[in-house]
Amino acid sequence: MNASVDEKVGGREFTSIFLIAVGMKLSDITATILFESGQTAGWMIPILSLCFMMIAYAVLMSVLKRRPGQGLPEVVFAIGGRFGGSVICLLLFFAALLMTAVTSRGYVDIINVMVYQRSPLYALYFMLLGAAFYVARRGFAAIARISWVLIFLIEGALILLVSNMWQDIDWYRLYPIAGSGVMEVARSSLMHSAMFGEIILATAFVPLVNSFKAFRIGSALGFVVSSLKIAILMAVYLAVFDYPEIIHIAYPFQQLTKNTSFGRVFTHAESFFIAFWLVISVIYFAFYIYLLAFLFAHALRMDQHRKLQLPMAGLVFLIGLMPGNTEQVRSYWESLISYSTLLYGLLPFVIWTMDWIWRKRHANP
Amino acid sequence: MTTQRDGKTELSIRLADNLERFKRDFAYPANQALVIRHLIVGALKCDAAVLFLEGAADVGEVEKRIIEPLMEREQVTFRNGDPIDTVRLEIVTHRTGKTSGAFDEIENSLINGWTVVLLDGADRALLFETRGFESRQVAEPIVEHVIRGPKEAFTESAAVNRSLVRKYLRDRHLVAETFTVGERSASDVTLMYVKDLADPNIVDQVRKRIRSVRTDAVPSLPILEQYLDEHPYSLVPSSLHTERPDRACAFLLEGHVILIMDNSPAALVMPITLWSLTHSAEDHYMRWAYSNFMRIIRLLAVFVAVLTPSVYIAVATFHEEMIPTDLLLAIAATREKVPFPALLEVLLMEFAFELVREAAIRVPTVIGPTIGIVGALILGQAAVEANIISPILVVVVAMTGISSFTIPEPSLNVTVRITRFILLFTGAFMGFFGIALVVACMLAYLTTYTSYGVPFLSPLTPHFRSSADIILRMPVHKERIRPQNLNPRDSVRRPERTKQP
Repeated sequence: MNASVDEKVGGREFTSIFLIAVGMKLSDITATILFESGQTAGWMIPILSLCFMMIAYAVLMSVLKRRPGQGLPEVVFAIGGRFGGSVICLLLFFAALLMTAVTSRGYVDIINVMVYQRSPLYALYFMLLGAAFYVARRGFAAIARISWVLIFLIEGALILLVSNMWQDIDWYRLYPIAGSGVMEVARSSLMHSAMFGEIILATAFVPLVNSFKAFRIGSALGFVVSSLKIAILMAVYLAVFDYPEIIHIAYPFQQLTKNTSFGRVFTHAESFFIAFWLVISVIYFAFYIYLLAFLFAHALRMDQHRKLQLPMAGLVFLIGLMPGNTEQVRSYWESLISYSTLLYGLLPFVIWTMDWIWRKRHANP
Repeated sequence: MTTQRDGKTELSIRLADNLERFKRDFAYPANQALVIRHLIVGALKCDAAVLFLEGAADVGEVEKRIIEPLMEREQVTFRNGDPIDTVRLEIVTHRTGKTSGAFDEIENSLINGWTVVLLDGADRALLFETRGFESRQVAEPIVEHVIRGPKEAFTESAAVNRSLVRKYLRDRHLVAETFTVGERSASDVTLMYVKDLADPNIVDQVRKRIRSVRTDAVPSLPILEQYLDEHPYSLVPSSLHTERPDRACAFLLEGHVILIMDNSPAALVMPITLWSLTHSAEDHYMRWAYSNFMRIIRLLAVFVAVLTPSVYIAVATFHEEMIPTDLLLAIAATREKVPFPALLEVLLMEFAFELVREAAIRVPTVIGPTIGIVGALILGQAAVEANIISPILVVVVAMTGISSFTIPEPSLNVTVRITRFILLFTGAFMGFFGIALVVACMLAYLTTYTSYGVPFLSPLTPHFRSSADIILRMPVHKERIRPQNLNPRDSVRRPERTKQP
């Protein structure tokens, strides 16, 4: 292995990107929304959602495996032609763009509400995206390398948080275990499976990973561990706050950190966790800005995707400022998730079929 | 240069002409440094002149090994017909000896302490290496001081330094390449590396960079370091100085390359990583547990030195609830009398501390202790009593200051101090939010910063196989592999121990 190959990342670094980018969902508005539809079974939704998404992922991987060294954009251009490729890339780009805008707005709302009540929202937003843009500007390698260096600290901090809350946990609050009913939970999981839509988007980065094997293991491991992590943390939220109180807590993760204390002297440790969480959010949005620029550049078949990062950050900023308040952010998030579930769920099958036709045509000339 | 003046580059056959030319070039007789000794070679019965520069050549050696044999050797039949070869091979007893016909080369050699022998009737000159520059003895290291371990440091003489490296690393693959930099005052730079360890790409890159230096003079290594720097505006250094030959050898054995130069009591090591900057020479001389204890202390010290003032400001301004209530009340009580905002207080105190530090370096050693007294008394106690700063701040700044002294590398030390101020302002501006954003950006910078193609935080991130000598270290018997981020040609230090039956 040669150190001078900049942009290519190794399996460990790649896995940790997803442990961070997907694991971050345990700390935002996702949790509360899932409890609304799943009630006491809300914590199972991430696991079931991932199962649904894994089917789509497996179908997509079967296509990618046949085309070594090609990422999702290259593959759709190869089998869908210039027009089809552009359309699919643009669709993915818009889904990712709206998702990023809404999610980042949600994060800024959290920061605004929980810590910096007197700072103007747009200023906080601007700074967050500015930092994320700088990190994205340093390249995919920077995002991957920071993720790898931080991942153990992050998981350690999470374990610390949970063990700190251990005495407040009452596991009986998880009952009734099936919540709003088995069918209802399954339906809700299917509807929300786009929360793991990154697993489809991530396939765009195949050429940036050392080997296809590293990519496969990295993405699968990253997503499975993250979904388990989200599920466990959601179960902890439920066991600490109880249902139905949980659906009235907008940000359970931040609320949980507010309850932590180290001994009787340090009774407020939330800023410690929040600072940590902020560093990771920067990496999280850096990943998205990189992804957006990458997808858009491919859709228009441009070479210089890095130059698009600044406009992408600006676009996210402008779209993110549109919702008036947190409630609107939530409802946008809900409808966005439903539509993009359709996109992420069906796209792999479309690609597979197109690939199948393409192969038929090229096999018998 | 001299050659352009009369268009002649080669020696002529006449001794008088050649001497005339040398006298003119060295501004003789106004310049008394050039010593010209006329003599007659006894064995050949021909006129000759011996030239050397006073102060550059070792006079004793010139007399004993060159002048004496030239004059005392009796006339016999020689095997060589050419007088120059006769003198070189059969008369002079000096250990070196080469011929040259070019004025430029001869004059450069003279400057570097060589002795020149000119014979009448020969259009070439004989050159003998009789370098005798004054240099100090091998002394104890001053900056990289250790309790246990060798106490020898590099000196200002490159020859001595090279011999020190050879003494610690007796390997026939240890290569020493010499380059000349500087157009007016040419100085020799020695590039040393272990041929079957160092990555040829890295060696090539360093070679290319040295060759591309175009300037009139490069007097010493610190200047050369700046000419070679890939990122001249960066806060992060891309090579490191060590004054310890044992440490230089440890680097060589990992596959780094070092540069040695006259007039510089140090070796320049490249490429480097953050870990090579934070490790101390002593880390491997102490037993596993002891050295790891020291490393943990130093790691904490780095965090304290970088973060404490900014965290204090952030907590005091934005996140008061983090401080235990009793302490918060105590701080509030002492701050009550201080009219300034916390940021100004910290800035005042940090500035004062930087002043003391700078003054302590610049002041003559004799009055050094005064600074300590003035610094401690006036800045510590009087400032608090005058209600300019609060007592907690003295603790914060003192902690920060002491912590920054534990960072062994001078370049990294300044980097840490500058970073502290950047974080201080962001902490005062946006609290933990600002600090977190800046830390994320700094991490992004550090992870993608490279020194001669090697990522600065490797082998930690990006991950490479290594003996995990990064933050902590393993016991010596487990350090089997060389760090792979340097792409060494031989990756194993020692084969795995075979199990005894």
